[in-house]
Amino acid sequence: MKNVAKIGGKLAMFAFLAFVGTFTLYITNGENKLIYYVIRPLLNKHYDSQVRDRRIV
Amino acid sequence: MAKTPKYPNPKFFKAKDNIDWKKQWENLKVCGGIFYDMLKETDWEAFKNGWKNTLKMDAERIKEEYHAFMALDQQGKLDAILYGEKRLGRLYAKGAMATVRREWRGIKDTAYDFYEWARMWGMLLMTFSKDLIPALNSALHYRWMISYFCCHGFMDKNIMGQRGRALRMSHLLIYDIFRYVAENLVLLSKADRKNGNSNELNKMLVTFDEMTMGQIMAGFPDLCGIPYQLLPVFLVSEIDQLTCVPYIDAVESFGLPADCCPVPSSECGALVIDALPDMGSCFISSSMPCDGSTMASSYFARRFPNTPVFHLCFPVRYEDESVLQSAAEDIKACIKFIEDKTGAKWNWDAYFTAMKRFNKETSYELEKWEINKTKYPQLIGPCYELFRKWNYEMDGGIDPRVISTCEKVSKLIREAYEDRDEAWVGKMKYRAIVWSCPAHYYANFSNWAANCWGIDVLVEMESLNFTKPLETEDKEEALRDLARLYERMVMRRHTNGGYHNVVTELWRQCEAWDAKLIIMYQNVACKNMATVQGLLDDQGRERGYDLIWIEHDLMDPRTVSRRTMRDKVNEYMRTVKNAEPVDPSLVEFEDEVCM
Repeated sequence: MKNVAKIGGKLAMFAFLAFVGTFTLYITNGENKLIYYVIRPLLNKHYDSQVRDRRIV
Repeated sequence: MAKTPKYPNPKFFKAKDNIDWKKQWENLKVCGGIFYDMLKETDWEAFKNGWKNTLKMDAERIKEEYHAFMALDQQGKLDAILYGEKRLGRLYAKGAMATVRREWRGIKDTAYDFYEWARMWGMLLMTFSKDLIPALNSALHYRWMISYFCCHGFMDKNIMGQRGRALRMSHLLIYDIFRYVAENLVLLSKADRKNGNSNELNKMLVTFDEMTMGQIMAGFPDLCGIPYQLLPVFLVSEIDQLTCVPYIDAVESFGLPADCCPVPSSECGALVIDALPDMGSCFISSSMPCDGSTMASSYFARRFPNTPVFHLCFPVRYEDESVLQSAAEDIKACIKFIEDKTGAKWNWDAYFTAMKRFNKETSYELEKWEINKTKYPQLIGPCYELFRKWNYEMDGGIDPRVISTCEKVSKLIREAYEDRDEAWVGKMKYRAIVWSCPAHYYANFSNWAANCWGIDVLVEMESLNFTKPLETEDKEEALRDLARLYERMVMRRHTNGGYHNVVTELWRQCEAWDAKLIIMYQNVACKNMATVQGLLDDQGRERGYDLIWIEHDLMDPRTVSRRTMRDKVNEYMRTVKNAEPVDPSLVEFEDEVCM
């Protein structure tokens, strides 16, 4: 019984922390900021440096 | 009872990839080198200072928001907590690509929006995990792919200011579109000969241009139809306003005049710089809305000469039934072409099943229209507009999962109507209709108009297409109905339909929807619509309508920015209507680089 309560408590704590983490990410628009300000500039630089098969026909 | 087959067919995802690992490794090495050089060249001091400034500005913003909240009286504070914020302009920051935070919609609606945010991420991750490597490779190879990462930001803009049932309906509708896009992106990456290179999938894959409707694929349940240019160019330009700029520049650098419509320009530009995948067993093109679009399809054939092309050439005189049989013969020839190129056989049962579903979905759409025509419109805004276009053009009843969304939305819209909900709470001031083709780079313009001025767009021109139920028993009549439908594909129905279908039709629709205000889009590169501009202006004035002309360049925000588009409405509302904005914080803000 004690073990069940312990596991239950841990699960509840994990769920709570997961909620706090994801909700913070959501409300601060964190994932979009990461994409726009970190990933995107990096990839843009990469796309600009790529040698592409550039032709009209 | 027969079990409904799984959709999309699991064998599409299970098709074996033939990735050229050596080539991909070389590519990864190049990527690694570029990233290493960037890290070496980065001015870390400037980087640190940049973030310091950002954090400082964030702290100031939070302080300002805190003071604004504390300045409210007790009731105002309670309202803000329970029903959400009212000054949406503060979500934008000068020069920022992303909004500073997400909107607070009140406890209940924020919780719902958070749930939908998590559900959407879950769906995206699960879909991409079906074949992750080619999809990741695509992100490294195609510039447009990264724009899809911003789809949540796009969703936020579409539902800004929405509450209650209106918010729920918008989420339900847009979820289906995003799921369709995610699944097709995975398949596109798998099939691309530069990437997943799945021969097995390519044999089952039929590609078609972005204007050709998807319904014909309903008769080929063993094949996969992908609107080829839709994902890399057409749709993505609605998510990210800057995505087509490199393509337009590329093709113009080869001499294409800058006054050409940005849709075919972008598509040709993407082909010029090798930004479109090489895939599929054949390509279906159509006599699309304009010669520019036809040019883009022809250019596809030149870039990928090994892919056989079929051109559906429907008569433009779609109301003339005497030419209908020739269109039906064209459909027959197209079916034969697909059978010859793929080895698949046309299946009437599968086609009729999908079209029965499509008819039901159309009846749900008509229900929305009936409610929106009343004094209590319930489903308005960009999600409703996008869903109709996607469902009519691309899905066409093929995906069996969509019908349950329609049923849920139908239930919500009836409840909302019975309770006399406001689709935009406290913002229902002007009934409006949108005419001519809207700007891709400002797909959420109607959302802004509602939030800022209380202009509620009840319907837009592109939604008002063919609504006749398609034949589902007689085979010959079914082909004629399919031809009738295809003759009225998006933009063919109005902007290329001639005087009565674009001018007279507008006044008829304004009356039917009881709309006095018209958001009159003017694509500066559309020669067709330019011919009737003066007529619309004169007749609109005579009839006493408020016509707000809003110029735009469809996919190129550099010609007419979003801000300039908003200014046209601001000026009209202030000077002609002598109106006060509902939300003054949205009258003037900067979003030139914002996605």
